[in-house]
Amino acid sequence: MATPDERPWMELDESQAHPLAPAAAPERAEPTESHALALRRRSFLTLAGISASLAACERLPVRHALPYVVAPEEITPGVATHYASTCQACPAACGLVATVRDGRPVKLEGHPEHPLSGGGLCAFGQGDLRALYDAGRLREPAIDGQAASWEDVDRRVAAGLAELGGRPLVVLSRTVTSPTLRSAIDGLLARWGGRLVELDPDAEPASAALEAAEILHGRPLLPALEIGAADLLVTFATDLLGAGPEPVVHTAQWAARRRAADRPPLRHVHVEGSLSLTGANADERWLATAAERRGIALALLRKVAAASPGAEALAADLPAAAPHAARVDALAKELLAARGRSLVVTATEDLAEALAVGWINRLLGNEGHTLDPERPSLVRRGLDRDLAWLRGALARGEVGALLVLGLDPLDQWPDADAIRKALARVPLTIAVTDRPTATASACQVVAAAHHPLECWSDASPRAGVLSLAQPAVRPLFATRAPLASLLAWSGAPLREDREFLAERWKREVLPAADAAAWRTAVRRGLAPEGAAVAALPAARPSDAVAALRAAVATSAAARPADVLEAELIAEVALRDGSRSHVPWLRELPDPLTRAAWSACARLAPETARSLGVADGDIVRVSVGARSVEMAARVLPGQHPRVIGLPVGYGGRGSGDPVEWNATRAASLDGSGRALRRGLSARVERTDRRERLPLVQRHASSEGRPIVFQVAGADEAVHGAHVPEGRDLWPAREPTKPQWHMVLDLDACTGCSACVVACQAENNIAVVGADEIARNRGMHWLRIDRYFVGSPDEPDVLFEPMMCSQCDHAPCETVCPVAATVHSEDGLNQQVYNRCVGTRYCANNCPYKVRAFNWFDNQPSEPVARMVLNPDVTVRARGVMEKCTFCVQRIQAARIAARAAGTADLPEVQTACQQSCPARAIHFGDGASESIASRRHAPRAFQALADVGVRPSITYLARVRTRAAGAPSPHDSQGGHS
Amino acid sequence: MSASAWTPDRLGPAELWPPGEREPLVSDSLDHGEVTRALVAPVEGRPGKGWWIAFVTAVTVLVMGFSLIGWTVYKGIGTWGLNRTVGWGYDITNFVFWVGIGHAGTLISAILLLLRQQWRTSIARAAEGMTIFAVCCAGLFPLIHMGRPWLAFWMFPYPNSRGSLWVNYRSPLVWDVFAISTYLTVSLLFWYLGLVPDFATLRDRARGWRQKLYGWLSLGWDGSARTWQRYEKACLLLAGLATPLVVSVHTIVSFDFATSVIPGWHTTIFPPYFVAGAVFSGFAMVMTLVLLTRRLLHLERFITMRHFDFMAKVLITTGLMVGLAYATELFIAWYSGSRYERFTFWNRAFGPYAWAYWLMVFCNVVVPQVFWSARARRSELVLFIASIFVNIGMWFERFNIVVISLHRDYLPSSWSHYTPTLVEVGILIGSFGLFFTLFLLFVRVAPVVALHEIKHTLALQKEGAHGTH
Repeated sequence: MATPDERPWMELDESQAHPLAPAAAPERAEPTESHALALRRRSFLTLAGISASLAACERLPVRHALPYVVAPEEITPGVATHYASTCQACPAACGLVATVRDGRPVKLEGHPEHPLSGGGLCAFGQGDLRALYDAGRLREPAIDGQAASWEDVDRRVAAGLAELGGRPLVVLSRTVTSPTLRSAIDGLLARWGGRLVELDPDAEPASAALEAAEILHGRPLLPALEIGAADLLVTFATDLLGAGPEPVVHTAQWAARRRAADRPPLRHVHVEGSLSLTGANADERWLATAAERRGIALALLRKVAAASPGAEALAADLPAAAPHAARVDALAKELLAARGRSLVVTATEDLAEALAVGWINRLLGNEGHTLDPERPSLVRRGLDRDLAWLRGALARGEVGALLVLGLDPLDQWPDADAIRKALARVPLTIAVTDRPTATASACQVVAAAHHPLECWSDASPRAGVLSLAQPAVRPLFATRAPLASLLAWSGAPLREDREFLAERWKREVLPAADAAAWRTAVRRGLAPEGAAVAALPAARPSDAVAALRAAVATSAAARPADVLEAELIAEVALRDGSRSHVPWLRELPDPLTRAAWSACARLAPETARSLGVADGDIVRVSVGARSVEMAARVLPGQHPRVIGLPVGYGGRGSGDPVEWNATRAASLDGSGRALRRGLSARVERTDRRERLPLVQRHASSEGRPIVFQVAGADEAVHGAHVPEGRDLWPAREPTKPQWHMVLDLDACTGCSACVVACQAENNIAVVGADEIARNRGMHWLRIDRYFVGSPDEPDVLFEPMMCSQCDHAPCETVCPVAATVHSEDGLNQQVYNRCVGTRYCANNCPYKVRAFNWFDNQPSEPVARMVLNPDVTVRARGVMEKCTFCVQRIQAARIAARAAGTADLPEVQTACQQSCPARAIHFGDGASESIASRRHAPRAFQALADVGVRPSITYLARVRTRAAGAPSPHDSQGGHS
Repeated sequence: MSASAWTPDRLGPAELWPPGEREPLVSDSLDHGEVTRALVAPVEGRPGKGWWIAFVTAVTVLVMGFSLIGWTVYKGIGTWGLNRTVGWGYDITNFVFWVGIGHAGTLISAILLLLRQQWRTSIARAAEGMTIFAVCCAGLFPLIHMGRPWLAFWMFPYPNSRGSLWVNYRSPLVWDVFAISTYLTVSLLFWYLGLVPDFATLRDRARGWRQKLYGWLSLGWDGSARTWQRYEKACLLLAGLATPLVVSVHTIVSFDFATSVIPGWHTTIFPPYFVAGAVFSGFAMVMTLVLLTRRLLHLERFITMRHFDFMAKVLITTGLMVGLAYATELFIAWYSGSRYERFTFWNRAFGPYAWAYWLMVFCNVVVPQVFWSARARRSELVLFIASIFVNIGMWFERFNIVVISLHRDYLPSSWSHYTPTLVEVGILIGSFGLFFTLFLLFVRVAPVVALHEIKHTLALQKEGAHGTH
């Protein structure tokens, strides 16, 4: 298999000569059996006779798998083709390389040349591949619930649009990152008259920050963050590294900055109420409710302003009192000492807080250094005031037609019933979606959309960055690209998405002189350097001082101290829930709660005690008149007054026991804005329980030498080194290479991208909630999570755990049939077809990384099986399996090296390593420079080194930089369960 | 049977016997003819109501158990309660339990034969039968615990066409295969050899097809002095061969655990500990079985309270040995200084499965102490209850070793819990069905007490009574 750098990416240029297999409806995708019969004369005559008599019988329907009669030049059966594209699972639009085998994409990886995302790709983006093959996808368009043809759909829409009678057509969409799609929407709206309303259904609010940016910088666009330029990062309840707006980009920046050896270590202070991945990775974490966060931000601004010449007046209007007063003082001093090298970020619904943070950055001179308002981020554009307008217009019956692009407001808005009623009164409602959603069922026309991997598109997640998306597979069903639908309805002359895109790029993006520019752009998946990028709206700055004063004056309503506060949060696996039907993502355990499949309300240990609630007890959380019920999960590090409710679960058709998306617990304020944070909540215990599908039930390392954190990058780990004892094993002549992996726990954020990458690469079965609850997950790679310190404010440590390919592997000695053996290059091999399933190896594994096939777990639907990687055996029932260090990739590299006649192995990237946005995984020959230097770094340690199995995985301890005077992070022992 | 005036009540505790006189092992009043008639009656006669009730129950349970095994093979091991952390549960617990029970037979017939313990004669046949049936039950579990049991033959080193594929001789599971199959073979041989003279007796008394069958089974036994002499020699030789097996089998079974790296398994004490435990559990099961058989087949004259007295003494001795092993384990766990070792034993005694640990200690260490009392050693009720307790306790000993060590081993992140499913419980019960079905069939085919040995014992007893002693 080729790695992206050595083999050029292919272009899907002419759709007529599409090089992909005609893999259409599942029945056609089913392969026929091909027997290479060695016929002798007699058997031939026998068969001929039988055939002749059978030919007279009734004809059976023929099922074809059509071979290439004239094979496209660039396709070799069994050899992967790689297509550069753009991920469209969320607006962050990371670069993507799709690995395509015989016409079907089998793996999505990050695009190493993408200027923002680098080579990383998050779990959510990788899960999008599995959504392509989802059996529940819409397969054809529908009108009023009846299957229809695309001609009928276009006629119906055209007729509806012709009768608007002056009322507006409203297009409701997620933030549109594609300039081409935006221009098509503009074209449609210009033709019929109307308005685009963008809405971000995330748990993390962006609207207030957008408004603050509008006031401060003149445009409702978030300044782009440059974490790499910061020495001090202060974040307020924004999950930059987890489920935030651009997790891959921010994680890559954050980890690269932490690695930078030539600069002082990055200090990261995080303020939040509900434990997030970002909080878990911060050096220092303050617990604060929403109101307290506002107070802290304002107090910080007051201190900063007081020390900033010319801004003293600003300080006078701000409240002085704040929670964590001593820490605020110290932090303000640190910020002032890091002028131009600090960065403060917030995700809030409070305009005062957002403005205060903007002001702090401005006063510290961070603008232009650590954040860039001139080349802003374009991934969040949903303004609550637009939404409020739409709500009002719908309620008043002023909307002539509503076109919902991908979103599911009926599931994602708090007042679903009101919306449903309002929708019924809109003369024309159209849903463009690839899944049956609640909104689609309430719309007249459902324009079944292509999956993004079947579409042409582009994306611009940041001003100046433009990438291209090309299809990796022929459409599986009778669906149509959303772009093509919009073009059809706007009566544009160009109706093909690809033509429209190419024409627009040639006109506006690509240099006119270069005729091959389009082909190059498609091949690279990126606009050429220095290409023209879309102009931003003109900046219209306003009086930021007055705005701050006004915002501060509208004080948040005081809350009685005994009321709990609900906060809607997003998890890395499901985010907003738009892909909650993807089995890989459902099976992915949350890195903090370690629960898969199931939504659970996160409560602090103290809160759980006072409510008399334990893990799995169903609690009813009521916000105003609405309530959600979900299982409780006691989570150390949670603010005792804050309950975290994950959104994204309980969507229609997701099969969740709770048929409620927690978003609906959001409360609407007077202007119709949906509030997600600081909601006054009542929590009651019900008498029901759920067996939580937890993959980890014990949170402490029990003082064992498993995981460590240190106070500085040069500090050595204590207690992990074991004196060399006498070795009873026969010495083996070391051969080259000896594969070794180094995992940098200081870079690892627990984002779980590697877990999904491993699942996709290695055909790991999904077993479902029941089996996970029985501790029978099949993941080869899991991320263990340990709490260190007090249960109220613990440090969180993540530790990816997979087969350590031990030199003295205890599994190998005990297998009676030699189904697990050691290879020359240091791999512990599992021979699936030799395994009889005694499970002795798994029992004897100190790391418990072996997974047993208790049942037949692989999907049976033909569409779902299309995702399987043909390079990796699909394991049968009764067989043990485990991480192989991606032996298929090692073998491919070996074969390539042999073919090329070179002695040196080309670099091998494991799937987990490739996907890691933080570049926390290093893999190669243990003696090579890059691995050996890390293996002998001061922070290096091996988990359970004292057992003496000699693992081939080395960890580098987490570095936690404390403020001067704070307790050192040394006591990584201890903890609690 | 009414011919004898002898009643069990006349046999009191040993100390009631006049000094200088030993309590007889079997009733003195018996003559050879009576012995033959009484002991072949269950084989030659029609089975009684008691036998039928027991047999139908056992077969029902057996069918239920095998249906559940069929279900397991059809659906997958997932029908059991095992998980990623606890890969063995009831399956291997039952295996070790049954292998342990299979110990007493050879111990009684081989070692006690070599040590010339005459009291063994009355119970040896039953114990040997029990051994074979227990080993059958034991062998079932390693087979069905496999993920792909249809490939079980891969465990044997046989010439094959799969390249150079061979078994892994480093794996204790392969050693198990050899140990158990050797033990089964030798036990079967020994048992069969002992049966030959009795088959000849049955042949001589039978007519028709039974005569043919027993004629064939008795291998042309002619009862001549030469035959007897050779027979005795063969028995002695086989006893010599079987004796090391008594120690080896359970030692090797203990290696399954002792050679691993899991705290609570990786223990050098295991071989002697397992052998002592096996003798303990084997004698308990013999006691249970013989108490039942004696009642069912009216063998009170042949299996007397003096036999139970001896067995109770063995039980209290091995019980103390097992108790010593438990204490040693705890001490060494503390003394080793290993945090894993210490935690594992703390977790056994005070963790989530503490109830199982203390149940084991109660059944195996506390209950046998009742046998310090001579009265208890001769009370059928006390003996029966105590033997059942020991059976339960020894099952839990294996459960504790297998499950409690596994469920919390090195990495706390993978700590888990194991709860058996009804399928597993059903298969365990089903294995008792298999055991009792085989045993009940056995008592209908061969005398459950060795005829010729009882006659020999009677002769010795009389010699002793009239001798100089």
